[in-house]
Amino acid sequence: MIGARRVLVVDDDPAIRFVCRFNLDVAGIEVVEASDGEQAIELLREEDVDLVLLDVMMPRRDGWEVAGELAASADEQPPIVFLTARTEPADRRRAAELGAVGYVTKPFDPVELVAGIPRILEAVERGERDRLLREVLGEEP
Amino acid sequence: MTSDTLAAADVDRALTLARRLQLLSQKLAETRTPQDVLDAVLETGLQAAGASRGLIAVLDATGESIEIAASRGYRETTMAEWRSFPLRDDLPLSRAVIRLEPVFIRSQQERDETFPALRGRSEDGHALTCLPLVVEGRAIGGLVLSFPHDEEFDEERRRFKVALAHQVAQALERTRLFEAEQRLRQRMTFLAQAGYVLASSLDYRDTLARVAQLAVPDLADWCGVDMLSDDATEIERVAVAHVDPEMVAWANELGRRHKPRVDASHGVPKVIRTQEPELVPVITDDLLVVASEGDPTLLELLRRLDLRSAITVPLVARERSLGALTLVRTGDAASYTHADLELALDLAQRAAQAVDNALLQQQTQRQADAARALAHVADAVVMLDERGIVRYWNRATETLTGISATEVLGKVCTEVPGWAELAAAVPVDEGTRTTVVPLSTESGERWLSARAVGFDTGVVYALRDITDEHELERLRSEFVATASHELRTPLAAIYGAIRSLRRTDVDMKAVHRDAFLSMIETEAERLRILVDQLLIAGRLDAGAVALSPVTVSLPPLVEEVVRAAEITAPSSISFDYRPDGASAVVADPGALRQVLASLVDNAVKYSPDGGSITIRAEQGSDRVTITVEDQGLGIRPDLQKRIFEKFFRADPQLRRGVGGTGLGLYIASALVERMGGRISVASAEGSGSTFSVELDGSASQ
Repeated sequence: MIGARRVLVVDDDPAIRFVCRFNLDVAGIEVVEASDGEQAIELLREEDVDLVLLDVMMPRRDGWEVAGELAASADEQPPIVFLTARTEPADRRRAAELGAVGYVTKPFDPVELVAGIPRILEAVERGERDRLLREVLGEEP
Repeated sequence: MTSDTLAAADVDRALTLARRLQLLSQKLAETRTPQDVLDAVLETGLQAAGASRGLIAVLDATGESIEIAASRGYRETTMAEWRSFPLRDDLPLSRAVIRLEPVFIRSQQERDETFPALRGRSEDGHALTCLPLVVEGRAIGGLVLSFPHDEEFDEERRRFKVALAHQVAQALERTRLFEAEQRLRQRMTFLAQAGYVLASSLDYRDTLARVAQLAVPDLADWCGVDMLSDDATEIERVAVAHVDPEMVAWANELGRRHKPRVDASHGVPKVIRTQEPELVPVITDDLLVVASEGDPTLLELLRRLDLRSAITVPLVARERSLGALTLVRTGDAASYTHADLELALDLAQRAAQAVDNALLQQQTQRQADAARALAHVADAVVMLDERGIVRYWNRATETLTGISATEVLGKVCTEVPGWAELAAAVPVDEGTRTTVVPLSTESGERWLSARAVGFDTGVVYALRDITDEHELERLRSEFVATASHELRTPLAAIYGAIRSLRRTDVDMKAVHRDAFLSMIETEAERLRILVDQLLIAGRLDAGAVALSPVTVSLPPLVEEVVRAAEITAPSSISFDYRPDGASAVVADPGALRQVLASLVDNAVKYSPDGGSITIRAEQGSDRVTITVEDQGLGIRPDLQKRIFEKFFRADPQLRRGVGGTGLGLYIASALVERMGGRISVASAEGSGSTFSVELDGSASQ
């Protein structure tokens, strides 16, 4: 089973970051935090992470821009799971287009979210893009 | 007898004849009708000529037979036999008329020898003369004089009789001309009257009723007008006139009980169908029996009407049958002639023209009314013909598009800016489907609710400008999305905290527990504020917010607002309140707290890089101005007016992450307005904003 050692949590709401950090900690995963998109991009240039939990609506550069930046980058980039209050199908499609491997809508169960990380990483490892895409789009597997 | 006495007697006789001729001439001059002429000739002329019996005959209209117009002295039986006869050279009168020469017959013996055809058919007698009545070299008839004795007809007598005939012919022609002129004058008067009546009303039923009235009694004893229904399935009697008003009721009764069938083989339906007039000079009982079609009640009614002669003429306009006009004479009135038929045709033609005009006028009027109405409707209405050429472009369309009718009328629609796209987007049907389409205009994009109705000769577009509604709808759905997002974010923190607290697999430290609990507390408060805002906005819309202005001391209220803001604001933001300005204001305390909290909250949100937020209260002559100044992002000049609109958010994509419901400033401005104050903003993009609230400050002084 593939596990994550390091996860980047990007959200402008400190409460959400705190909830994520606590539950990732418990699972033995190291947490890196960013409170806006710009910070996230800077961090990712220097740090290696196994996964990004990414909010959409944030100051400065939003989650779409962060994902866009990563997708456009030549280097291999960590997989992205969106963690957002945006629930429109159009948002899910946009996330899928940006290559996200997960789409979690707020409010969310942090325990379930953390428990699901290995499954997502496994699917990424196996190259199960279609399955991940369907999940991002909110379609039944 | 000496030659002198003879001569004297001759002179006497000549004088007497001349006097008689003169007397006749005078009498003839006074005659007005052919009958007058005959009377004068047969009274005075017979004496003048020394004749005992006489008759005047005239050529009929065909010129092929002779009719006896008047006679005196002959037996009735003879006259009955000779009332009318064809021109034949073997009869003395005929010969005179044909040859334009007088015929003198000295005795009955000569008569029977020369004209054997007369033998046994004419009365016995003596001398006889038949004189042609000639006008301008053309025979119009003949004069017959019979003498009580044989007669030699000397030259003088012959000349006298020819002169007599000449006078008679002139007089007769004159009276005939006079009568014709009279008839013509009557006819002209009638038609002129008809023309006046027909032109006087645009209600064709009214017109036809008056025409019917006009025809009675001069032209008919009763007159009826029947009209064909628009779908040509029914014939309706629309007007009846009768010399006897009581008979109108009878005629109406007849019309009601026996509506003519459109396909009937006779009478009004046939005339309407064939557009051929019908003249029945004499209505016989046999005809009534046929017309009643075996209906004894109808036959009884028809007999009661005492019909004698009838004319039915079609009312035809532009080759279309509109109906028929029927003229009827009753009792012992004269039969209708072809002259009457012609008059009736003339009348019908005028009546049909008038009805057609009235119908056209009605139609034009309706179209004009419709056009006037269309010009004034709020919806834009555009009509294109089958070739796509703009034929109608009302005022609302001009306002909507900024393009005047004169610019586009007659142009192909695709040449009109924005129209090609619109025509492509709006399906043409019966106008039941509404399509919402954008239209680019000089003043920007407008949103239209469009319907297109296709008809024979083009398409009519009805366009309603729903830009405002569309924008409101867009803002509303955006608001729902934003509200959902705003509500979900604190909910996510609360739910996340609770799920973490409930973990049994983890031994949670007290510090974490406390952090989660205060998170729940704070986020619940954030939710409450959001829900309050939504409620307040709803109540403001419903006009259900009651405010009670009192004198409010400013320093404690502002300090309370600042303290509340400090709790949630990032540490990069500092607050600066200088309570040295105005100290009191007239306002509703709750509303004022809400307004200031909104402005301060807004200043925090739009200062992502931190900075100082300064609150001041300045005393004017009778107003207090409270300002909230930040050093944040600022607001673009074109958005500064709109930020107080409901649901409007300066940064709707939240690209800068400044969350909000789009209600804070809307609520603040609505509350300030209800307190009789004014809210405004001064800002430069990138260098902060200053919001000002002006309120009644009389309490401070």
